[in-house]
Amino acid sequence: MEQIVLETKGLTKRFGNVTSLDRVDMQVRKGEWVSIMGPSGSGKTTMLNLLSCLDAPSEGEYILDGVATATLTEKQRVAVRREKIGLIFQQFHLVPYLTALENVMLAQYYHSMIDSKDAEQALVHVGLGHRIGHLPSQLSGGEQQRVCIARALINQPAIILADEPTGNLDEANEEVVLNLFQELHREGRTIILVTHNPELAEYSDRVIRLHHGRVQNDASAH
Amino acid sequence: MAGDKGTSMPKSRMFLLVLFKSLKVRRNRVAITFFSIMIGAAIITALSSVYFDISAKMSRELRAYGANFFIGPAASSGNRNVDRQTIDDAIKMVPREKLVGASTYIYGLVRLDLGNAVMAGVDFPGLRKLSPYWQVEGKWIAVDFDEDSCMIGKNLARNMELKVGDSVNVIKNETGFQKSLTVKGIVETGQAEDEQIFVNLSLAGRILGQAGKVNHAMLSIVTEGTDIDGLAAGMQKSFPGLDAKPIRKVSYSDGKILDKIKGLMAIVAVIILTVTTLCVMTTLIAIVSERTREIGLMKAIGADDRDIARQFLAETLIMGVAGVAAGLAAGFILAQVLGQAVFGSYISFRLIVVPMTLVPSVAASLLAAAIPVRMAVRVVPAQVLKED
Amino acid sequence: MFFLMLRQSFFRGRKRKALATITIVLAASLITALMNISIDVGDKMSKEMKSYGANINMVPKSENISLEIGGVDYNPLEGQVLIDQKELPKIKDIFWHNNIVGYAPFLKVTAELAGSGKRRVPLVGTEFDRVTPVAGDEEFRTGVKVVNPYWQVHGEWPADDDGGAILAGAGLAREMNLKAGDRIRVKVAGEKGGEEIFTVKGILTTSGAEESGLVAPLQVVQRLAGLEGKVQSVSVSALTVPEDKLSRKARNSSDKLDSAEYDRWYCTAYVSSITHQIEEAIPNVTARPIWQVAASEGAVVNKIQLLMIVVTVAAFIASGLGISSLMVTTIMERSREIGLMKALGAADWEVYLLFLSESAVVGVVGGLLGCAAGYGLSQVIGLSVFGSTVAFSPIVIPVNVAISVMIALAGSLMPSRLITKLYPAEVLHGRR
Repeated sequence: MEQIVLETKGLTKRFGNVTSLDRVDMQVRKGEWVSIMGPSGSGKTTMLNLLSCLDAPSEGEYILDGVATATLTEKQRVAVRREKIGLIFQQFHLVPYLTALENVMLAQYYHSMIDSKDAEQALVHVGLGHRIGHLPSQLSGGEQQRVCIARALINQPAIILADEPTGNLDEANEEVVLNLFQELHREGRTIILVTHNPELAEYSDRVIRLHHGRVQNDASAH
Repeated sequence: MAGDKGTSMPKSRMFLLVLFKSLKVRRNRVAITFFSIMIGAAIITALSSVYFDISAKMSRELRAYGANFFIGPAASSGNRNVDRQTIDDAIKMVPREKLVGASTYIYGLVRLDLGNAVMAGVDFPGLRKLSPYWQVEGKWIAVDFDEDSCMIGKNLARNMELKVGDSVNVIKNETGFQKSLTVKGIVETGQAEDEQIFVNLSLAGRILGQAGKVNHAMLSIVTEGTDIDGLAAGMQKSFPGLDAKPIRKVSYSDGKILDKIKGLMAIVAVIILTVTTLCVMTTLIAIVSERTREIGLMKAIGADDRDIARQFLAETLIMGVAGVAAGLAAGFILAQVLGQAVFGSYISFRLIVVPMTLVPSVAASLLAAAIPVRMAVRVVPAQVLKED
Repeated sequence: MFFLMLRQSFFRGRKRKALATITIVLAASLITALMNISIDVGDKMSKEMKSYGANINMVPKSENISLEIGGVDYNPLEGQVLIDQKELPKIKDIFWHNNIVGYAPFLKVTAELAGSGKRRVPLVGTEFDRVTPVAGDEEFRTGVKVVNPYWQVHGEWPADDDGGAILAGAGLAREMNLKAGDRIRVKVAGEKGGEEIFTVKGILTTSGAEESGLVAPLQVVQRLAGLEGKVQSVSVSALTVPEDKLSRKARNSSDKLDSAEYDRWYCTAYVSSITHQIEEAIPNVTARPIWQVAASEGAVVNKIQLLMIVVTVAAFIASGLGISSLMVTTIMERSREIGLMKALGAADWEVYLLFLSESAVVGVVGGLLGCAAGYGLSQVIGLSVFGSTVAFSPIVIPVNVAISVMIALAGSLMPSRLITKLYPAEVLHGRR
């Protein structure tokens, strides 16, 4: 039986009177690829923010890689983020004045040691070996997203959290990124993908559907 | 950095890399920040330079009030006059650069064509510097060897029916001296001078039969940085036959006025300093707060508050120091413009101005960066990153 | 639609606008304060300059020429024309009566001191600090303490109605070993001269001729000299404006002024027009400016005013640049919005109009608030430096608001290249 990397119990988030996420229980095993789906306003983004430790829950428990994070301070959550999570955004969010390589190195810098060879390797891995010295503005959307993925991988995180990673990409690039994700899955990485794109969700092991902040359906995608 | 194939790299190098790239790419913003810090620092430099020089400058301006120091025969000696040489020697005790003007005087009664009058023998070039307030119709006597001309008080001129260019006979019955002089100028002061006639000192000595003697001397001395009471005491010690003292009416008022002007400048400088500092701060706040998203991103990929604060403060520090350096130069030039416009002379550079400019400017810059970084650090990165 | 957009865009970036407004408020308040001070500093400093003593000397109209050397008069006192003391309050009736700070009458006679070989010394009668009711001010105080603030007394000032009190000049006191509390017998020279025993109340230092004589209350000297109600000269301290071309013209040839120039001269507080008005008010006197004080005051006050103006201009330029750079940044960070507007078909001028209108609103609000804050600031300066409030000149408000708006607009126009050179596509795809 594979080990459980991520577990939530009664995870709840309220913004004022609005309950954005209501008592969510979920488990993700190591190497699993889970998609979280749901219409706008269903609590996907809140879920992602909580899972990525960008935000703290109002109630409930969240255990990531053996660490109970719900009651951590902001400072401790930063450490968890640095050590255990690789983030991929819809808008890529690369530092505009740093090259592809330097953007990857920045993650190393905040994490521990800087190793330009490793960073370069990561970019080669996502197929950008020839563009390591380019600035984000010189890269296409797909290339930027691949830099973002390389950055997310560089510190060997326990989970990879991706927020609509193909939302800003054309079909060709979507294909490239999707292939990358499949490859990561084959390598045994744990991936949590937030999307409303059913095509993307098809490739995952399991789909969790959110509706009005509750888990509506938790089932194998196939 | 792309070409760097080394496997590992020190963290400090990465820090500097991020720092300089961030400054280089955001050239426009950096220029504006630099510019506003520079302006602020320039104003502070200029004003503090002017402030430190104002006493010296205004002290010189106040010499418009004329003599503020008197040297005459000691009251105890009972003499009404002294040797000219003695008084000249005493005047030499005043440092040259502090002495604005000086004149020795000898007085006596003479007969003019239409009546008696008091005649004063003076040193005209010195008197002109000593008494810039004299209202002269016609011309000053410019040299101290002109023995054919005289200046005459306004009331005396009216009574004696004299105009500029007329000639007047000066007669001294006791010595039998008689000479015809040309009236070069008519003087109005509102005081005793209005009823006197002024001639060259050595001529007056001969007319009165007291060549080489004088009654007293009046001096105009820059008081700022001069121990005027010490000077008087020193003179009296060196020349026991003399009585030397500051003229209270003028020296007392000089001090009072200087204090007021200094106070005014100090307050104005402090207010301008505060306001400029705040203006620089708001500009910096605007510039840093537009980078909230960048801060959010750095936090999302694992930067902690210290990392972020370090980067932003370092950036600001660099711009701040560069801005202040440029501002010091610009401010010194500005101070010269101010000095030339108001006093017609240069403002001297003082070292104290450097820390006085550096400390508030850099502190304001860092504080200005700290406020928005603090705000941004508190922002939940998730929210910033989702925003379009 | 434009106004809707203006309102929306104005309230959306409230934080930024607030920052811009605060900066303008700061700068405008600074400039308001400095402008106010610059305008008022002339009056304030000329009041301070009063410490140099009287600037007008009033004497009886006379054809006599004084033959005084070193305090000794070679003209006999007999036959001298004197001023009637009753006429003096009329000085406060002239057009510029508010500018008359004070006046002090003087009567100088020669006195003999008992003992010490009947030594002859000048005895001056004056008023020290007397309540003199005049029209409009029943509490008007005047005397040498007001007119000659540099007079210094070791001991006490005598009261004006104390018939037995006297001040001894420092020079005389040194020679005769006088100190406060000593009693001296004084006889006024001449046949009518009375005699009186005085108590020395204090030792007077002036660095003037008074130091070698005695100074007593006016009434006593008048009585002793048999000259009741008469004074010899009056020192007047008046607030004046510095001399300029008009006043010099009036002085040299007053009959050459045309009537408009004459009115302007008469209604300006030149020292020459004040002396003219004193001569009009009191018959048979001559009022003359003491140029040592009058001319020098003008020179120094002009310098200070110039200094303040130059400092104001420097501060103005600095804050102008500061505000401009802030406006540049606030517009620069809205490039995305500009791109969107252009993508929706807005012409450059429409984009300009929106941004400039916004800046104008910020400028007006900031300028008005700044005027209010600046008013307070100038009072703080006035109170702490001069101990009195600064007059508020209404002209400062419109000037300041106009300046604030202009600065804000200038700052918004500077990044105009950004607006015109911006391609919507670049912005919207995040390349800029």
